[in-house]
Amino acid sequence: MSQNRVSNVYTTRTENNIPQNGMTSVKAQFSHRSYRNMNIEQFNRNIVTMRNELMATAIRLSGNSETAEDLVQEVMLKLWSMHGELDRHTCPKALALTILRNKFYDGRRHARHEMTVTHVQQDHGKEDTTVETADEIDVIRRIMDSLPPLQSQILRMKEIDGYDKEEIMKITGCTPESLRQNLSRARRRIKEEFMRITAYNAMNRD
Amino acid sequence: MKKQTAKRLAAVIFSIFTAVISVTAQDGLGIGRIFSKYGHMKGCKMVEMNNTNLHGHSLRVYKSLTYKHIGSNIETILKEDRRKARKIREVVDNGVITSGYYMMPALDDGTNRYILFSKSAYGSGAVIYIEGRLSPDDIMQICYAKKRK
Amino acid sequence: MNKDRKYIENLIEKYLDGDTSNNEEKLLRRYFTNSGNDIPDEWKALRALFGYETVQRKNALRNTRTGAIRIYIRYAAVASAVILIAIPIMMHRNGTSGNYAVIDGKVCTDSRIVTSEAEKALMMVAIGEDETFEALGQIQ
Repeated sequence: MSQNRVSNVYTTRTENNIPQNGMTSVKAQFSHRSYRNMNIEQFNRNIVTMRNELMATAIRLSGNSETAEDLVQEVMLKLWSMHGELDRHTCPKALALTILRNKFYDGRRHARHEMTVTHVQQDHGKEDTTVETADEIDVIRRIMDSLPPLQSQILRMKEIDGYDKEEIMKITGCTPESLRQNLSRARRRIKEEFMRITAYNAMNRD
Repeated sequence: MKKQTAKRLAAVIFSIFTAVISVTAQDGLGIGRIFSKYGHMKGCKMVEMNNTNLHGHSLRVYKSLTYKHIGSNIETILKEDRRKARKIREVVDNGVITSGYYMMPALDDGTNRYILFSKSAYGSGAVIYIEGRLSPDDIMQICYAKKRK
Repeated sequence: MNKDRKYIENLIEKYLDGDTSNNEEKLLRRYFTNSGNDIPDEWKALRALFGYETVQRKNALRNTRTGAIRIYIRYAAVASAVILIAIPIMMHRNGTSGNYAVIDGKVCTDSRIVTSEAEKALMMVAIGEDETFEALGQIQ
């Protein structure tokens, strides 16, 4: 995987997103990037080192190494979203374990993620492209909301917040293969769901 | 980073505050310290007048302190200002300096500054700080004209 | 035309496998921005996805801009609050609010008393016999 240095986005918390490529001045891009790099390095050093312990607990909880890996990545992303306030916590490890347990029990409660978005209301009026495009985007939004949290978070970080693959790996502590898989699953899911929904709607329209 | 923002905020507040506070021109001189230290003491009388007219001359600042007992403290501090003075006029009586004035370096806008003083043998006396567009001649007129005739 | 299609098709597969580089993804987005409606149905999902992402990014930019403005407003508010507090203090020190006298630690703003005390101080400074005064005058 070739990593090209595209200067783009910076996020400290998930609500502070700066888009990439032409939407901010070059100067702003560079300064944001260097600031974020410093933070990722710090984060990586301090937090990702507790990964092994988190994995052990996650495996114990879920009994399954794949689920455990997903859980741990989610915990890392959550910690990253609050990394500005982390120094207030006297014991980040305890915090991480708490987040881990909470996410595990939340997941159990909602059992399977309902992937089937059976019916999406579409404007049956004009056939012009602007209406269609807006509806398309709405379909995507619903699909994104129904994806497994880890997949949607990673896709969002990559495509909307503009993080590099390397940066995401440094934050979650995952392998390149794991990252590739998550991106692939998310993207394929979106494509399949989209086609299913639009086909369904096309059928029902007539 | 919330911590960094807080620190930055504090620095901004501090610098604005100090900038706004430190505007008075007499503070750079020892006389400023005399006023702030002894102005409210018992046995002392301090007067401050701004943009006032005295004997036909407009003064931007007139500040005076008459004191008792603390003459030596006053003297020590005034020595600083004496060193910085551009012009010194002193009256010596029996080998002792009893009164006079120092003309201090002018302000950027051309306003002149003077420190007038008088002291007795018993530790009492008076100091006056004047800021205004007036020459040493004018000072002579204001402060010493009374004694004429 | 077909060669381009083939190239895009390969890129799309790569993208769905999670294997594309940043530049390749850039290319795909640009393609879909300009492609119009003349694309295979299978590709429409991607067009929709990229459209969704563009909207999200625009929202994020708006948030940052307002976020930055919000921060500036916060700084400005603090600064003006500080100045508002400092002005009365400054005025007190400068006495811009008026003339005053402090006698034995008590502040007095009666202008008659203030002026008389000022004159008293001047009298004290202007000591000396007439000779002393003339001597001063001659030294000029």
